[in-house]
Amino acid sequence: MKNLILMLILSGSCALHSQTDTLFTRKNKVIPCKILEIGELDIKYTLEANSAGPVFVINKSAVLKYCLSTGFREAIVIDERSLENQHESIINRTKVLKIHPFSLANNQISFSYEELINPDIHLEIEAGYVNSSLTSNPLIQNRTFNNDYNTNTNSGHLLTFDYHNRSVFYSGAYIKPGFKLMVGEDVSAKGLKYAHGLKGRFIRIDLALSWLNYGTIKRYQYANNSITTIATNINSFAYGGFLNYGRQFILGNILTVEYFIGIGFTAQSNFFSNPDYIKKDPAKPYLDFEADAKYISNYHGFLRSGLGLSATAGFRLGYIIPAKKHKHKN
Amino acid sequence: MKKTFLTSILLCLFVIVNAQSDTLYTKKQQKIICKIVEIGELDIKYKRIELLDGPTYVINRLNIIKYTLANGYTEIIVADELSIENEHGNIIKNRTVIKISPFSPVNNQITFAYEKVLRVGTNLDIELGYSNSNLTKNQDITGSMRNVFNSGFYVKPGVKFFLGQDYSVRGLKYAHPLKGRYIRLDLAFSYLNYENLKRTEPVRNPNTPYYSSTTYTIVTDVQSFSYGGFVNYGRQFILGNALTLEYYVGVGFTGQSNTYSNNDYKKTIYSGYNYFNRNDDAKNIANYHGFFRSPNLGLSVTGGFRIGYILPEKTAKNKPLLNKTQ
Repeated sequence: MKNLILMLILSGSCALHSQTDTLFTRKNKVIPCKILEIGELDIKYTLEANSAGPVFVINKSAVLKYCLSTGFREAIVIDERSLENQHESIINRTKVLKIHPFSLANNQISFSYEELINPDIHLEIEAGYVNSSLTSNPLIQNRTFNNDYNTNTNSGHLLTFDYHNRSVFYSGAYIKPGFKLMVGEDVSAKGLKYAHGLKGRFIRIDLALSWLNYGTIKRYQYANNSITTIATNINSFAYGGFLNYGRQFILGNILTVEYFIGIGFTAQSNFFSNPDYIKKDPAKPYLDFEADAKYISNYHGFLRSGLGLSATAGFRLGYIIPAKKHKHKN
Repeated sequence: MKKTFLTSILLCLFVIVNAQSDTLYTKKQQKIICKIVEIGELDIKYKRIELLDGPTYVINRLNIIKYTLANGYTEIIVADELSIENEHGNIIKNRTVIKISPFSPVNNQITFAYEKVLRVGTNLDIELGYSNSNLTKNQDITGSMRNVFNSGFYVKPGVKFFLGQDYSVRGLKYAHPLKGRYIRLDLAFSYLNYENLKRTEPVRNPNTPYYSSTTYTIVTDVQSFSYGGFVNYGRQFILGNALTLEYYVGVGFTGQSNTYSNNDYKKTIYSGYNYFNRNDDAKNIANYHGFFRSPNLGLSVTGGFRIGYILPEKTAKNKPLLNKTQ
């Protein structure tokens, strides 16, 4: 029944333009014309109203069907293997919401949002929530050189463990706003174009701001033959910029998958809730208790060395958000 | 009489029309009666015989078997043997593959896979494996459960998404729907059954914290399930239009669930003496055969190398006739 209606409509629309050839485009345009050539990739025609005028060439894949003046009609079937219009159905989708499926392994939950400003430049914002209780065995322990009072050596204790080997809880957040600049191709050819604005290799320049809040951290201090315990919280901020290289793919016109690695510089500011914690121990003035926070390396959005040189990387899966439909359809 | 006369006239007309026209014979078994306008290196241009003042049609030379001109000249089109434009043209409709992992016995398993094109660019892929620790002498990496007979199976259903190209250019297309680089998202379920897992412990003197030199043995079977999801990157090639060759690596997360037939096995016998606490040995199983699992984190990796046979397409019941005209 459906086919019958389609055939009737097709016959009807052909009959309307029986004196001329007619092209029916996929954008619902009807072009009365004189078709000159039907190629593998293009159809050439002159307009009916201006048959002495220029020859127009239309991509065959943009044409739904054509009718000749004799009544012969043919529907154009797009080659299913064609990569030319691989992402045609989502070409207007320019926003992606992403998750980092492996972020939990680093005690964080990360999301990001990407939006095309133009095909070469994209806005991207990544945000993450950090909580040391998410997994008991994270991939990267937050390691620091915590001064060991008893041995007077920088023994490389984990900051996440205090002297009773109890884990120190910490939580925080980070944000990395940036711009993705698409790298494109080294060569150019006539007709070469991006398969989709969201697909390809890129350089991303982004800023990074991370905040970590460490719960109660304790140290001993000997005074007058008694032991005093000094406890503090630490708020640690790190901020800087990164240069990333990555690549994004489109999977089944629904999802994106992306990887990136980056390098940058970051600075650090630490705030101790108890100022006594970082005061020098008169008995051992060579110990630097501020160093407890100075060597925090895992800021979750990135890893930081004592020099400030920092590295980042990621693997993200995204959902391509459908474009808003226009109120008035053509 | 009248009928025969009409048929004869029609036949004569057909012969006259054919005699004054050229003919193209396509690989799709079509016979196109036409006026050939141009024979190029890559294309042939023609006009339909019934539409000589109509549009010029262009057909790829690779799609033509031969052509005959009105004067009787015939030429068979020989495709350039170095051309890769239509490299897999003969098997373009063959879209199902049965695969084996030739090196899987090394890991005490036998693995098969099935792939089917759902639509160009998206394929269904299911991998199945049977594991048995007696397949080879190599015992798998299972820590304290080493040398314990185990068998099981795994299944990994997933969807392959072919990556295509970052750019687009006129006429660019997949060589074959089974060929290329891909990302595969798959689920994984693995079941292992360890038999007669033994644990020998010294008998403790009930009145003292000390234990004697006599021992006793606790025996149990362990059933271990692991389940999760993977993201894989891989590439598949087509060899001689008959076989596929594929490699892939993947990373994912998995959970684990263990069942002991004898619950005494994992009981802490000497409370207060942690070094006798054997708790849950099965939680350290790393080799689930379909993947390797890091015991504490659940982070898992997988990889594979597969050789496949491309199944021929089912032949249609009614073959198109050679003299079908267009």
